[in-house]
Amino acid sequence: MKLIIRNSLKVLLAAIVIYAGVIFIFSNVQLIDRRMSSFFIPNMQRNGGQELQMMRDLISNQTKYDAIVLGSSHAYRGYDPRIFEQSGMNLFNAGTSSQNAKGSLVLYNEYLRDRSDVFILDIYDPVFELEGTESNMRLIQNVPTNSAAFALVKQEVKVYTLNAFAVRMASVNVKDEAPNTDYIKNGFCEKKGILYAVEPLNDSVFDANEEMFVAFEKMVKQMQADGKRIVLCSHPLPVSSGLHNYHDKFLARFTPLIERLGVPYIDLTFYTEGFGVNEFADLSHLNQQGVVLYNQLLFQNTTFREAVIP
Amino acid sequence: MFFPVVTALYFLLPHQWRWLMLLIASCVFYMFFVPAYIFILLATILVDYVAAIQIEKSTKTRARSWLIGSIISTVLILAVFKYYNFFIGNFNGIASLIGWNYSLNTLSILLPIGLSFHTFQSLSYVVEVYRGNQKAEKHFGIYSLYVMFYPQLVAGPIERPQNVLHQFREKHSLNYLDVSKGMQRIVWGLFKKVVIADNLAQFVSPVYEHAESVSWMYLVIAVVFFSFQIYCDFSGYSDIAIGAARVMGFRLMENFKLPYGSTGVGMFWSKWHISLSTWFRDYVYIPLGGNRKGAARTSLNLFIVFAISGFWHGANWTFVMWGMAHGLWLVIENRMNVRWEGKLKILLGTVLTFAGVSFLWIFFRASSFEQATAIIKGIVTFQSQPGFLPSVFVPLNGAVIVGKILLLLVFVFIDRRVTEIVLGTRVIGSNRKMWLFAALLASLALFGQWGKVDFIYFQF
Repeated sequence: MKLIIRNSLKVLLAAIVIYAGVIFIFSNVQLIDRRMSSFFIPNMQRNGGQELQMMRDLISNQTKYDAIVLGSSHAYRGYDPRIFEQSGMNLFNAGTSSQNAKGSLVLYNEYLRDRSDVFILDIYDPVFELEGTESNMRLIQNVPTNSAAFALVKQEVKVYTLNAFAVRMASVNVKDEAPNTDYIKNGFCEKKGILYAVEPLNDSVFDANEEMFVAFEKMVKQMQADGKRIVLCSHPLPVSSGLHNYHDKFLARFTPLIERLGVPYIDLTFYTEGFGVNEFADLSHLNQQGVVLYNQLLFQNTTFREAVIP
Repeated sequence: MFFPVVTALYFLLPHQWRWLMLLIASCVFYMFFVPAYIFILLATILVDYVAAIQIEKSTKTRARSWLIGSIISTVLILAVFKYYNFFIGNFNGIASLIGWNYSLNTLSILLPIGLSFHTFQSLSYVVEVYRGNQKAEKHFGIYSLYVMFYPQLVAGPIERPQNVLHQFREKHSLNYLDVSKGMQRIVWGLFKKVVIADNLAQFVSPVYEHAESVSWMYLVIAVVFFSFQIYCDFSGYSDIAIGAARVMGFRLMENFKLPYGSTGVGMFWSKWHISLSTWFRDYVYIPLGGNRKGAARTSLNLFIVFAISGFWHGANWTFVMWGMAHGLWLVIENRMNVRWEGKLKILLGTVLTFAGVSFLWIFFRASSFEQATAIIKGIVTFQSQPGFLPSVFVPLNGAVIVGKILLLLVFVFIDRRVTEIVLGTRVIGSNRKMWLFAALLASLALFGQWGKVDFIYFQF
């Protein structure tokens, strides 16, 4: 028995040494344009891109914003600070790719709580289906402080997130691996043309991840307890055969929750007036022309104005 | 947690209670999936338990009746749960083809997990008792454990009673060799499953689903990946099963012997899913006459066995086609009597065999003939990227695919060496061995896919 325990411990210790060594090499040696970790470690995200640019922008000053947007790529590509500026509002867009409520809450607690009294939460149904691992791993790689990265790991303790944290800690002087050329300012990215098409939301089955609804409720309650004003928004989507069915199923789960929380929801998912093929960058995102139209629509909306304009 | 708890209990309990604990643990393990199906398993066990006792104490004619009765009832369970909908679907298809406006309803039932495996294991027991190679087991609990032993319950190896039954009566003590060998086997099996098979599956699944929307290069990579995915998935499971049993002192039969090093399909089947191949050899091929009735009959027997083997794998014509194609290949190979001698020829034989086996895996993996045809057509016509890649490929960027290819190359390089070390046929120093298994363990954390990917063979 002693021999079994002793040798098991030896193997385990050796495994830890190998793990640490590989993580260090993979975190610092680059192949072509990125670190080795991106090639080999499942779900590992790059250090860089919109997340890094946005975080750098955010911590480069202590500006208090009139409103901050949180959410997925629909958020950081859907709310243009330049358009808000025209209405006299100073907006910051803290959305990140597939960002879910768990990630949003960490960003809020670590960086955003004192930066605004108004929060626009962009709602995109698929985010409430996903486990959110990749999104959290991307944030773990790119948030400026280790405490925030650790808080993200705690939200979702998995081999993947632990690996992401280990890569982060082992990285020495890593450059921005994937600068986003569409990045404008205050977290916003502008999409001009059609980059790639993804199939429309024609899957009529909305497969809810209950954890995401729980996390969303927790985040909203915390913001409300902090006295923040909140408004929920969804931008128009290209209408497809399955979209109605899919979004209706999402709403059947989501509406009772927001009614209980008492937060306004401006849902323009099925809004079509003025939104044709020229207003979408792909089948899931608006392009800049669509963003202009959408942002104007928001300012025409009484609920939105009441929520964001003091 | 299941494995360490059961193993700890096994060694903590007095010998006379161990079988009961293992039986309860096996029931719990089985009931993780669909609890009610334990009664199907119980029915199979009960029928074959009674039949074997009756066979042993009956005259030859009566024993034969009991054997046939047992086989029919066991196969009937398999037929209802696995093949009923297949037969009804085909019946309805033919009915509508001949304009007969009548259709039978299919059943909406889930296939009990591992049904094909424990059914075959149970059948082998009854046949062995009938042949006089095995005494009928009087202890119902021990016999139940033979069918239900949790490490090999859902995906084999399909054991023979002569190899396993007596082991449940033997007293095993905790010893370093068994624990060490067993754990090495488990780590190697996990590596194959989690690091190789599941990483490759992440690419293979979307390519098969969107065969018409990807380039021929993607299709070729997916076909090669699947050959290794299924090998690592299934042999990985066998390694875990054999290792988990070994830690408790049980020895299960080997199921794989580096099959992709084969120079011919005959050799391939002597190294792939050995427990099933030998089952078909002993209980179907030889009773059909084997190679004792001339060349033509031998060929026919081989073809029949492989067609049945295909059907055993799944209630779908794609599996039957896969089995028949292997049968035909084997018949041709036997007739041609090709000998691969010399390094270059052996290499050529290995490459050709791998290519042929990989090609036929397309029918095994595809969900329909249409899907299989789309893949083959895409490859032979050098299909270019027809449009935009479906969104499911967004996370599978070039870097990720290159990473998977490199991981596979590492596996191809180490497979023979590590397998031989695990089997004890290659000896290395204890320090080197420690670092090797430490590296495999670290790889599980670094490169493993820890999502919800079931073992492929669980569905059979």
